[in-house]
Amino acid sequence: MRCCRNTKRARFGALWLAAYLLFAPHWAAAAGVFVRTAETFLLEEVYRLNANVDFRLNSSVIEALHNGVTLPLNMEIEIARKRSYMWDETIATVSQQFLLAYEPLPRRYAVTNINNGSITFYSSLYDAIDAIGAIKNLRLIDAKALEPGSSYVGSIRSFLDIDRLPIALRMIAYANSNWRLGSEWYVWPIRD
Amino acid sequence: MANSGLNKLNLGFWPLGVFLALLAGSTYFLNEAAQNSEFFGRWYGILFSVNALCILALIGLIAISFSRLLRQHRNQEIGAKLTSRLVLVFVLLAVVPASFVYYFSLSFLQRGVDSWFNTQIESSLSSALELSRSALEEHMHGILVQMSNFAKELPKKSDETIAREISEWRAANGALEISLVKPTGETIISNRVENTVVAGRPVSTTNIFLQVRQGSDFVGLEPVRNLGLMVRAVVVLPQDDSNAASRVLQGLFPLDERMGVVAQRVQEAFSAYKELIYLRGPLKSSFVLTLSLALLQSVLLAVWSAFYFAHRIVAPLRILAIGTRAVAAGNYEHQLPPQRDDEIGTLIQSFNDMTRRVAAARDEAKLNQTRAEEQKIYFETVLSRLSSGVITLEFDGALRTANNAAEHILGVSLAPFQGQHFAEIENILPVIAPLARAVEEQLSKEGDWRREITIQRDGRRLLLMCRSSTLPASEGTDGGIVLVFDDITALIQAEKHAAWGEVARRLAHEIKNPLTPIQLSAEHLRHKYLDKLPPEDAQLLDKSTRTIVNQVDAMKEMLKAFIDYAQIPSLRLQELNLNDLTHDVCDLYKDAGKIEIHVELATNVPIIFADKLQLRQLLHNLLKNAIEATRAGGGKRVKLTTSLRGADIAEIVVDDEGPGIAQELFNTIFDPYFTTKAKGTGLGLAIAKKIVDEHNGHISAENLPEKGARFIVQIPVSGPKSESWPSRLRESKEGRPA
Repeated sequence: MRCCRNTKRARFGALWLAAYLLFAPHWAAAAGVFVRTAETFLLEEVYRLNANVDFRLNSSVIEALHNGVTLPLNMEIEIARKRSYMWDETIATVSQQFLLAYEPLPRRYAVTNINNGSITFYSSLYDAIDAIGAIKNLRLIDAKALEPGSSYVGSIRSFLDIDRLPIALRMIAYANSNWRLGSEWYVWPIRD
Repeated sequence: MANSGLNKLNLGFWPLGVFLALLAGSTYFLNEAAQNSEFFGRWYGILFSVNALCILALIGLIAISFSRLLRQHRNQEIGAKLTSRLVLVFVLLAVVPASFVYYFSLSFLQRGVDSWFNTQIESSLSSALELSRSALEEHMHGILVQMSNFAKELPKKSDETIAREISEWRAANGALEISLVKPTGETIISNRVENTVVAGRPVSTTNIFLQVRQGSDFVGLEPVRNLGLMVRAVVVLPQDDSNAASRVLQGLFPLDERMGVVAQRVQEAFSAYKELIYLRGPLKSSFVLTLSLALLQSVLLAVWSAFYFAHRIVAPLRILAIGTRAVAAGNYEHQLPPQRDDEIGTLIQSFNDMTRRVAAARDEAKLNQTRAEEQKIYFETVLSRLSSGVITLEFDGALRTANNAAEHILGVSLAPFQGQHFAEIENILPVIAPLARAVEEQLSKEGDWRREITIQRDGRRLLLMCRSSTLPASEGTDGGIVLVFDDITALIQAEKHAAWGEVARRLAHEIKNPLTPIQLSAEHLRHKYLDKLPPEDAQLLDKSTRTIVNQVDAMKEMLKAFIDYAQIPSLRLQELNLNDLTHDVCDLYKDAGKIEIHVELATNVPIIFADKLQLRQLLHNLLKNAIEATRAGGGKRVKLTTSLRGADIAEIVVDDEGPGIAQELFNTIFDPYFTTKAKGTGLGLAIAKKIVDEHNGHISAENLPEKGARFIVQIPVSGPKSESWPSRLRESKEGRPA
């Protein structure tokens, strides 16, 4: 689990380095993405996830949203088998991808779930991002897929996917800390 | 250090080529990506990183090259100045045009992007959006009013009636779907156009349901899969019973196709334009960044290439300069490493050939010189070991060389007079005068000569056998005159002594035999006729015979001396005390007239190994000579001293108070038959010299400063066979106080 995460991080590492060299980092204190709760429960032999992710968008991001920029928001969920002698083994990865857009004609916010193609509309931004952050009953993995006797943990993080922003904005987003919105990995036990 | 790494890079053009390709590729892709290409867009981050890393690498390489150049300057290495100049020219050539292009590109970019946007278009789009919005709102409001009116009638009717009316109303109003939903969200009645599947999400699952249950109606637009935009209208059914929960009527109406398309287009256009305006800044930044990156890379690459090519151009020149410096310092072994196959390579090849040839020529010259020097040293050694004196002169008589033997024979040092004419040297060193005259006489004549020359040295006469040869001038030599001479004084002396010995022996032999009959005859005459003759005649006979007998005795004495000289018996060596012997001999002369004999005997004179009889004879001869000389000179005293000179030389010195020895007689004083006295055989000192010679000793004579002469005898303590005697004798003689 850690290894995969490290690989992904390494991919961006060089990017951050270059960005840091060009621009001084100044993180917005209040803004950010935070995983508040995450837990699994077994229903019909399938582990399902209930989680609550708190998106706090800062003014730069909201300004872009209101100017027609679609915001890609991602959630990554990993299930790993715990191993005492070496790093944990990632056995499944679930990704949830959303697009948040503002429609100026009806003055509402559209949330597209890329995984199932559904579009939901909200009259307020907060309703929209609360809806994205509220994960209910998400099917993660069959109980059969887990080895008996082994311990499993789940981890979740959520972030604004800069790589899916429009190209012109991407350069700014790499360099500007206002655009680097992402949560830490939140880890919870699936089975002890 | 870093040098070795860089040198490896300098192996050829390929690393530079690969690097260039990578750089050009990544810059191209970055540019493509910045222009929104889908494929490159995904790699934007990585491309950006690669470019940034390339720039960092270039900066690092330039820093290394620059520090190397600085170090070369500090160490004043060859080629540093040329490299700096080349680098400066290359950099200027690259940076100046690039900066112009950059400046104009930037201003075009700024103005070009800004010119895309127009405030008029923006306000028109906003108005279009507003217009669309009001048209849509009006359309939706109409639908809501229709729905509300229809709903008002429904609560009073039964479910069957409602179902029928809904079906009719739907068909009449062109709705896609009309459904009646319980407050719990359960659908009671749903009527939709035939052959359509579920249109949109059930109302109960949306947050609209919550809003409607609060009592307010809802109308809104939403996209429905495959069917485009729909108007969803939701109204609450009026209640008969206030306690019962409200039922909800929902209707989905297709938007008028034209209106829907136009509204959608307006919204899309507005959104796109707004996004464009919003992204104008980032877009410009992105273009500027890409352009700057490309320019920075080009400039950095140009700078590094400047270092690289300057290094490559200067490297062979530096090698050549180092080689030239080495040759200038005399190091011809320095070979330059072969270079690439071009003019510089040929130059270096030629340089190597040249140094090889020069080195070979120098080695040969050195070898010849060494040989010549060896030969010279050899000849000098031979000359210095020669017992003959060798002097070389120029044709004009200037001194060139003189060997050790020449200086020894002449008793002077000739080295300081090298190059001076013999005639000039003669003024300072009179000893060479006869030699100089001989040379002068012969200079005009051709051919070799040979003659005997007598020179005076330290009051002694030396006889030299001198030969002269003319050296013809040949290649490498100027020619000149070679004088070779030998000291033949001793040889002549020895010959003289041998001749005298032979004469003495003959005389003794021839004269001694008739002497005895003469004496006997005279005695016989005297014995027979002395008594018979008259007294006058008898007196005459007596006188005559006595004279004959006496003279024959005297002749016998003389003959005995001759025999003594000619036939000194072989040595009978024995240990003896010189002081005792001296004392004995001196005792015999105690009453020698009025002459006082003063004897001084050193106590440290050891027992010597010598022939006692001969030594006694020696002392007798010396004392007798001294007493006679003192008497002749009117002196009163003869002094005899013994002493030990050095470790093993016994010395006897006899001083007289006679008239001394005339200067011209020094050479002949020890010759036989030399005498200055009226009476005397002239053999006393000759015999003394012979005895001393037999003992391998040395005898010499000199005048005392005030009056009289001194004879000095030196005899080796350990006998005549002791080694290195003559040299030590000479030393002791020279070290003796006057």
